[in-house]
Amino acid sequence: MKIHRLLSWLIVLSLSLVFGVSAEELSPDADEVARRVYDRDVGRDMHLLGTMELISAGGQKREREYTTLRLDTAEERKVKIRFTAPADIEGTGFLVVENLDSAETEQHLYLPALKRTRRIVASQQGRSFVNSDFTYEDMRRQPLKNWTYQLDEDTAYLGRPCYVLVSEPKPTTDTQYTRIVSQVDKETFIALQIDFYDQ
Amino acid sequence: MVDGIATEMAVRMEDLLSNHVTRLLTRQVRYNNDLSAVLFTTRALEQ
Repeated sequence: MKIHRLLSWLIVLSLSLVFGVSAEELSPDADEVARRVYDRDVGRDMHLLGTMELISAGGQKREREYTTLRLDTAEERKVKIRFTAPADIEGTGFLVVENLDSAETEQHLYLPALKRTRRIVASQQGRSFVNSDFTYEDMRRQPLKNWTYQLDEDTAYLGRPCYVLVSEPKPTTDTQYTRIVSQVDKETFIALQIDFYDQ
Repeated sequence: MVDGIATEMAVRMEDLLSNHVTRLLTRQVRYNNDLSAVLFTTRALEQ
């Protein structure tokens, strides 16, 4: 059963594809597409101001403001999210530390009302992240080696040519999902739509 | 593109069973700010 769908929109002003590459290079296999999604250039670090909107089935909307910081080093990727408004979530913090060598990821949630930080353990990965539609598992990158990849027939999303990458967990992979289907922009290697299945 | 990096400006996560939606909207983003590692500790999380 398809349980989640993630859609992304980009600002793509000008990306030149005039590199004179061969047809073979233009047709990467599934593992290569997955690797390029995982390894795409996102800079050394990032500072982002964002709004989270929670929209109920009835259309009621709640807004939250947050700041995201990310730092990439040779050994680790670290991401920190801090909610800044409204008052009922202000100060809540979330830290993700991904060790690139071991592929181990730690997640820590700080709740200001309790004045304490707790580590998110494996059994909590399927739980909602701050009452959103993202789970803790969605807030981390899964190591490439934990999944197998296949390509379906190419498609287009919002007029942009896409690879269709089908990811399935290996038997030893701890995940809530049985299959993830991603429409990956051929130019930027950003997944523009992702469908998550649990059956 | 922001600072030469393809950037997701809006992300929509929809639960197809409950029809509940979470949207993440990027208001401002900057890359390569020389952020310090001390910002990314559990101690910094509590400050």
